[in-house]
Amino acid sequence: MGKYALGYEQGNGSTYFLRIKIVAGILKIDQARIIAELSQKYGRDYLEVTTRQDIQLHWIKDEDAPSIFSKLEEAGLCTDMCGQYYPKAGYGDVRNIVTCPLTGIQPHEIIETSSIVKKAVEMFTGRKEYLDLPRKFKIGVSSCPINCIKPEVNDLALVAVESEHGLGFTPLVGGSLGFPPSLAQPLNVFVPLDEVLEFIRAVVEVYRDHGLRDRKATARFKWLIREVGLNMVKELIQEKMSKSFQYLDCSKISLEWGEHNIISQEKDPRLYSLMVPTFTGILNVNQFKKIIEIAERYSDEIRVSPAQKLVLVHIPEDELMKVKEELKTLGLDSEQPSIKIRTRACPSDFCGKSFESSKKRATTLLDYLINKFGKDLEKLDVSISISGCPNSCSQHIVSDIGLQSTTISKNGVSIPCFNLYVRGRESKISKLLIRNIPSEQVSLVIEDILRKFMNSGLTDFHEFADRLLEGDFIHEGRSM
Amino acid sequence: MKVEVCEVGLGRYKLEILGLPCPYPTLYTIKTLEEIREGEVLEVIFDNQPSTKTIQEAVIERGHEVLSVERLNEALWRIVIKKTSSRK
Repeated sequence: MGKYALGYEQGNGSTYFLRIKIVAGILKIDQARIIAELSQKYGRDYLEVTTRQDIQLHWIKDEDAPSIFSKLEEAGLCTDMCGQYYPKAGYGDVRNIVTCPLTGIQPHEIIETSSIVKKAVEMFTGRKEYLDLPRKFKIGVSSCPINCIKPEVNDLALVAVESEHGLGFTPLVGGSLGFPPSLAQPLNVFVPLDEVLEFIRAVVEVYRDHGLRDRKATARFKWLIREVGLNMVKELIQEKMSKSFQYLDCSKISLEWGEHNIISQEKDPRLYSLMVPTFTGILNVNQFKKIIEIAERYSDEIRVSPAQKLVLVHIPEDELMKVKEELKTLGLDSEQPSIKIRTRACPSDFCGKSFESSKKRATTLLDYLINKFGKDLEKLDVSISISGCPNSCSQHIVSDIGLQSTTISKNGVSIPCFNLYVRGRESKISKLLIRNIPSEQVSLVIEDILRKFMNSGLTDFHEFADRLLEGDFIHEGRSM
Repeated sequence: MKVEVCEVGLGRYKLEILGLPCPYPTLYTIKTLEEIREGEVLEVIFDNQPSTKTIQEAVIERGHEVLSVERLNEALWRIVIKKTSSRK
């Protein structure tokens, strides 16, 4: 108890989901086999890769939970505690700690993060003293130069730095994308490498002991920071650790976000990592089993990325084409426009909070765009994310183009719609561009936007988004 | 977190399950029903909202009778069940 739970959901005929944490995004082959077996036996052959490096199964039955949990225990895997349905604040847990899926193998990282993440997970998992936080707590540890995990979307982000104080991290606190979205803010301090675990523990304990518990809606860490201020939070952490931190000017640290390429050369220049382009994270068990077979030819692990993808590692250069071909025969073609590969969508069809399936909408939209733009679509470096509600599980609120499902009522009839957000240069949080676009018009509206971008002569979508936002585009329905 | 069963009257038991997410409230309810006799009554107190639905479904599926479902306060529910079947 305390290491395993099922999540409750009310869509697609599923009552429970199983969210398996893939610690540090590293899934051992034997663990992958067990997940495949669970999917086959209990989860209708279906799997989802999430934006927090979890693998999620649906249609789980409560009576099967004890057998499933024993299997996971055997495999050294654990789950989220999924306590989001308590009406009051409380029973929050530390969610899967996200980190770069290429940690330890990519040539440009400052610090290898998997050992830190594993130790941090051990520190919190199944420990009673960390199972009653005011709400869930999300941590990200970023070490790659492109900050692929989007550090500031987490309650606590640690960004690796090589500073005048040595090797370590600089922390940012208070990120959360649920309404109202906020990005983690820098504490402007340096945390030495050998103190990072103690620091993570101190922050979680400050949240546990001081977090606001009056109302669930204001219980996330960001609200405590709003209430008492960053400096007070810093003082509380210092008090907890009985030490003062050295100042580090975070404005000199690059916090730009990027995404890894389909193929990345590893530290050992003879070897490559290859992203498996699981569209919006969906896989069937036959694809997954075949991926396991391919992966184990080169390594004893598969990496799981917060971009809802799997990553095959340690592939020699002369094998890459062969592996790509094998993936293509599984319906996982890596030669697709980047806009499709970068598309993310939440599992709204399962959670029951939405009127639309985000993943199905993503399929409809991308098929439409590919049909309309053909080869031209390959020129576009734009991300699209689709969420079923303001909780932003697909991170639509920090995407170049974000769609959030909603409804309007006309003559007593609910009409499914989407609010459309775009991300400009001023902030990583996207802004509302058009509200209440009827679902069937969404593809047309995005086609319009992308066509205007292509014809604008601009290469940076964020700059183009600023122009859109300056115009009078925030209105009901489509009239661009 | 709390899981506690006690006898509260003749043939009447109380199971309190607090701070435990799905599927534990349902599983503990089923397990406790297996341990009491037919005709006896189990009162389940819990704070995990989805269990209002999942406990009832599991209990009915196993042939028992749900006598009442009550929200005690903002964050606490009570389901009273009569064991009417020996089905597991």
